[in-house]
Amino acid sequence: PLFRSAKRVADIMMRLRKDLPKDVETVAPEFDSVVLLDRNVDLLSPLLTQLTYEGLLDELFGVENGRCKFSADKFSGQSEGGGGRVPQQQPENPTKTIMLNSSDDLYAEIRDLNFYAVGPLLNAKAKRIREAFEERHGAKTVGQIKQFVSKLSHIQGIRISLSTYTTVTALLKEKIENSEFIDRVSMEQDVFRAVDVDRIHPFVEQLMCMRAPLANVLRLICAQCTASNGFKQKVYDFYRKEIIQTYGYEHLRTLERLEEAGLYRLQGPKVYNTIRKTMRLTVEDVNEQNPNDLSYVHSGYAPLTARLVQCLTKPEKWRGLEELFKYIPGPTVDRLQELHPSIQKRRGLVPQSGTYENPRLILVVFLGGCTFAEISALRFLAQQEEGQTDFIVATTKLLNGNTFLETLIEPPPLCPM
Amino acid sequence: VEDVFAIGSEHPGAVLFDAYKEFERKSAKADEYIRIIRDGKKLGEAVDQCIAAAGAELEPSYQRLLLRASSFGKCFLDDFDSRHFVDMCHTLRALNAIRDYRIAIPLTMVQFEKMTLATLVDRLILRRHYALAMRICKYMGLSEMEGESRVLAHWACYKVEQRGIDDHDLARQISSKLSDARGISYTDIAEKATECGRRSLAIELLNYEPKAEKQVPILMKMNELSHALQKAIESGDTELVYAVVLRMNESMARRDFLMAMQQSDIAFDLYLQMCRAKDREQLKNLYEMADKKVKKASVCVELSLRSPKVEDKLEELDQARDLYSIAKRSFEAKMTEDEIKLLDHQKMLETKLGVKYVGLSLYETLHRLLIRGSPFAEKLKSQFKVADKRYWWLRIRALTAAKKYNELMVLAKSKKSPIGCEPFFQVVYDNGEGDVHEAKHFVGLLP
Repeated sequence: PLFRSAKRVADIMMRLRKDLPKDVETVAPEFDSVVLLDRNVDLLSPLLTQLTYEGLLDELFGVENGRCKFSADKFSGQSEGGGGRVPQQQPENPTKTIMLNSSDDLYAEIRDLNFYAVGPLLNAKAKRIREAFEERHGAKTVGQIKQFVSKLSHIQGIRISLSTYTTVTALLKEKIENSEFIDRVSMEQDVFRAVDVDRIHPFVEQLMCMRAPLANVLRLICAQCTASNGFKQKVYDFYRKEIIQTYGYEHLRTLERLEEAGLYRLQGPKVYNTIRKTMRLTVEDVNEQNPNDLSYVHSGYAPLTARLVQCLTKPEKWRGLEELFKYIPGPTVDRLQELHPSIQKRRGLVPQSGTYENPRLILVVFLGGCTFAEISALRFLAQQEEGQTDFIVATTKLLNGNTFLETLIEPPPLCPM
Repeated sequence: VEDVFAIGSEHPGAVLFDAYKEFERKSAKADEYIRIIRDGKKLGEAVDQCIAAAGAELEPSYQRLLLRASSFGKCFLDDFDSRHFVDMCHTLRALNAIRDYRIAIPLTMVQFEKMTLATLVDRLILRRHYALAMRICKYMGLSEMEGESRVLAHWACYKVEQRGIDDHDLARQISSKLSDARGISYTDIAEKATECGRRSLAIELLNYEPKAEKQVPILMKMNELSHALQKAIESGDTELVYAVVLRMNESMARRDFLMAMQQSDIAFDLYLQMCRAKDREQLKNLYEMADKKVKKASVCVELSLRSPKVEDKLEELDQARDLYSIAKRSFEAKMTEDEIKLLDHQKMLETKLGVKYVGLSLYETLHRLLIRGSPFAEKLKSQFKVADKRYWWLRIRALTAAKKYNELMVLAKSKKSPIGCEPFFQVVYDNGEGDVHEAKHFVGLLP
């Protein structure tokens, strides 16, 4: 029953549709296609550290309902309005909440970028703003002054945004410019490239000796497990004993759940490399500043879910991949909803440019949660399609590696006292 | 009609009609007549009048004449809205059909308009002229919901009351007729069937009902609980399944109920969840019955974690360990056994030292003992056969936490460390800002 959500949803959808009255049937559908993805199809992506701006924000600070909290003292000297929409600061309230959505132009620009590209971008913007501001010295005539003043509020707005996000970026940098983070990301690279996966073993062991948070440790272990197609008995036993002895007996149940979810198991069929190569999950030479491929979201790893959706944008769709689908857990289902003849539209070709008249809209539904990085990857895809395809993403939950595993981790036992 | 046919009538309609008659006779007078009307700008009116007259006529041949006349007139009009004309044709067709002696509803146009199409259809249904009703609905463009589907539904109900046909055949007949139509509530038909006492027919009909939320309550009312369960499961609606399971729990005998639960994984799982929320003991029984020892053991583990009292914990853990052993899960059995021993120690330590120990992991327990410098740590180490490497890590961390840097340095310099000197540095360095300068002392030890 675990891996069948997408199929069940598809079945229910088709069944409900059969019963629609005829007048509803002639309403033209909004979406050209709907892609239902079960989380089980790709368990590795959420385990990896997200390297997009928004993804990192979520991992390190937690983005809840499009909002993020920081300690207010870092943001001192900010006036109201612009990027940080915050009510009057109470002296006792030490946190600052920032709304994170694309209504702020600057955030819309940076949220999907790889983190390492954001710093330079903010710097360049700051420079431009400074220059624009300096223009006031050059404005001599009334007309020029008037022009400048009209730009002023716009410039002010950007300045405030810029200041907010520069501070946020600095806070993020603080958290990631340490060997812990760097080593971890480097280990993850080894894992998803399936190059010398066992090298991660002593690293994880040491993490446990240092009593790192369990979610961090489990992420790496489960990632290693997926990339190795399951553990050999020795490793399997070693890890579970260490986990219980370090973190507590209650994790006997955590391990049970991980096993059921397919995240922690013994060796099974060797599918990872096949999928990795066929779907081009790993990519060499990633350009983080100016990416040409969606694998930049993890600096060299493309989420399988994003790649599957990417197939839809190509004319051959999923042809030729049926073999591959056998390796991906869960049934694959392809359904065509018959359209009422009156609304079957032809996608007209605009003669000169060779593009389609109306962009097609694809609804991507994640059943079981998705990460910000996956969303950024899809946005990147849409961008690359140059207005021909756009995506709308629906998900049962927004998650990151930690929140994902925390749903499986057993809470500590109740004790006397 | 009078206006048109009355002798010597000067109404535009009459003139048009005459014009048409002349036209048929291929006489030039037609043109004359048309001009008369045209000049008086009454052509539109004329056409309308003819149409209305056609509506009022009861005799089809006259209707046709009048309609042709109006059609003839139409040709000379530039912008005439033909809808009126078309509607009238349709309506007349329908009315003529029902005026037919076989149906014998002599309705006049006025009566019809007052009565509305929907009512007419109802009347036809009441008289059981289903086929005609269907055709009229379709022809007159009634929406499916109001028209065809309703008729079919009534027809089906009627059929149900008929005794002649066997249940199964009837179900098939009905479903084949109804399969194309949308929006039919099979549930209503099924209810009718139940009223007539034809239970098996009702059940079969319910199979065709696409909306499970409707199917299931009826099935439950009919006390067809296993069917209801099956349908609920098919629908994928957990609320429904819960509802059925609850009902079954109430109304069925214990044993029968438990057996029914075992028939379906989904029902069983949901029932398990219900028990998990309310009745853990029952949960254990269920697993026992299903011979799922490992799962039962898991419940015992859960119960031990949730019980605050140590005695209760130990009791559940004993059960768990035995179950794991029988199920040949040696790892789980060993871990559980270890936990039992550990809890014993922890209880003793709490009593002796007055500090929390129960519920901590093995290494955490050791960590805290080492911070206090308690000799019991060594005892615990040997009993649980903790590896030397691990133990050293624990010692380093504990000493750092206790800020006993001198002892730590002594340990580091002793050169007995199975893990080298790097951990010394690393642990101190990572311990926090205040200790970074202490860490410097350990740098010198690194190779």
